[in-house]
Amino acid sequence: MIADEELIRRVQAGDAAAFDALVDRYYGACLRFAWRSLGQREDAEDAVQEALVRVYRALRRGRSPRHFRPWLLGIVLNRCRSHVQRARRRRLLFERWWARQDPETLRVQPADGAGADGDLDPKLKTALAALRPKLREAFLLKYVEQLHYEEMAEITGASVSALKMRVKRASDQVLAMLTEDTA
Amino acid sequence: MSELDPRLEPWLAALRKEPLARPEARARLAAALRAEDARAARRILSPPAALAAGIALVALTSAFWLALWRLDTPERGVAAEELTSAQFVLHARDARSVSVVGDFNDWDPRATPLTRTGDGVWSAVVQLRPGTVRYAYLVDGTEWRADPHAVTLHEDFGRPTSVAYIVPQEAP
Amino acid sequence: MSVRLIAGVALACAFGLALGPRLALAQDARLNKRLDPQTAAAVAALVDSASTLGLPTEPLVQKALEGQSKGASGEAIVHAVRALIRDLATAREALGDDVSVDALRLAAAALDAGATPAQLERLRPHRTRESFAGGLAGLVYLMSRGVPAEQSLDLITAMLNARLSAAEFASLQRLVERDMMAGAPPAEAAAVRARALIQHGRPTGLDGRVRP
Repeated sequence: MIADEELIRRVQAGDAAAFDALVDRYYGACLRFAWRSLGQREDAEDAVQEALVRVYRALRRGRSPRHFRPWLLGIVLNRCRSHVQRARRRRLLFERWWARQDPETLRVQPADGAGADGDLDPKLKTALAALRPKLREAFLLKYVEQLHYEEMAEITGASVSALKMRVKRASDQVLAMLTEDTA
Repeated sequence: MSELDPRLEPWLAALRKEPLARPEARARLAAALRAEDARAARRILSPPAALAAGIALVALTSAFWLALWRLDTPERGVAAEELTSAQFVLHARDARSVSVVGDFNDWDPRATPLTRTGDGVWSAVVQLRPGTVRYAYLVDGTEWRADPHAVTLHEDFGRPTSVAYIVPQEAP
Repeated sequence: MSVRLIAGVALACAFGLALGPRLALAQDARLNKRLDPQTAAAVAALVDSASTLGLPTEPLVQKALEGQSKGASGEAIVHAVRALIRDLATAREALGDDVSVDALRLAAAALDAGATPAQLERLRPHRTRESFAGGLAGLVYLMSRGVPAEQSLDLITAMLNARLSAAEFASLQRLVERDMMAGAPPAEAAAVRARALIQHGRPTGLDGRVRP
């Protein structure tokens, strides 16, 4: 098996097939993280695609990350955050505009937000969705993607101690929700 | 280092499972990467700055012309191959005139008259872009009627409206 | 018109403005021709807002022209355009970002027919399919024939999962119409025809036997 560093070297030299090999190796993990973060498969696929195109561009321009996997997940994480921000901004814009219109409105029905993918146990899905985004990110990076706290600090911009606290809070909250009706 | 609560373990196993990639998603990614390659190639081949500026200027003014033209005639410029023939039919024995009025003719009651083919059947064939089309029939210039064979939405403006979805032609 | 044209071109050359997107916000000539000035201005403002919100504008212009040709008052026209903006925004919220204008319009029609945003969200995972708009057309059709929203969604999602084409969704409509004319209740007819299309890709009669 060819090491990441070698594949990266080849991509930098213009070998597109080497990037395909990297994608084959890491697409699953990227999709897993994005899907658990965003809750929707389609959105996750979009975020992963955006991330991988950026990664490709960066590598072609000579970027040489020290450790590929955390760096890659950091870019996926940023695309996920950006996706959420865009949706939130649009919704706010619309609600503000709508509020300025005449009050003889037919009711604005806000969308539910509950994803309909049948991938995970619904209790687990709900528990994850109930976490605040930063807690969910930390939880997934630590326990699912199994990064070190130092790596997580580098890609999220938060301190190691802050991240440890988020992971603890997230675990407590998730556990509470998953075990509540078996008590 | 925080300890992982062992009760979470079974749930983590499910979370750690890598989902299978969908072929469509991988195909979209492959296309995006190819586009990125093309973009990079164009950057390498781009002409010197002055020429590029000149080209940009021409492009801008062309865009201006095109955009202005589109303001008045938004639906023209669709490639002929994309259009599909659609037949509008209405049974109206006692009518003196029937026209079909809809999105495709900017709701102009005079634009698309139907011809009487005999026995109270009126029809017209129109070239339509694939996609949704909303329309209604206008009988004798005064009476609006929905298409009995299409989906009728609730009455807009107190008059009926029909909607149809024109399927794109399959490539031969 | 031509003097404005020349002046405008000169402006473009002088300042190199990216005029394409800005021109889309200029008042649509059709509104001026067909509506009274006050209504035209009000609708143009709504179209402008919609554009800022990233929503498609042509359906809004068409809605205004429809109102004018049906003799509606300016107030009614403005109200209808506003309601359409709301429905398009709700549809986009439910379905996600890059769906086609056709899909959005059909989804707005489904909302109008009584579907809830939460119900529309069930279709979200299918939004990149080529036949997505066709599926939405099928949904609007079934609901218009009185098939309850939940059941309509079940059938349409099953057909989308089976990767049926837009033409096959159109077949569903034709076949159910025929069955209804023969007296079959729409919900049952829809279930039978959908199942058959999924299983065989060829229509069967209501008795389940495959027709040649």
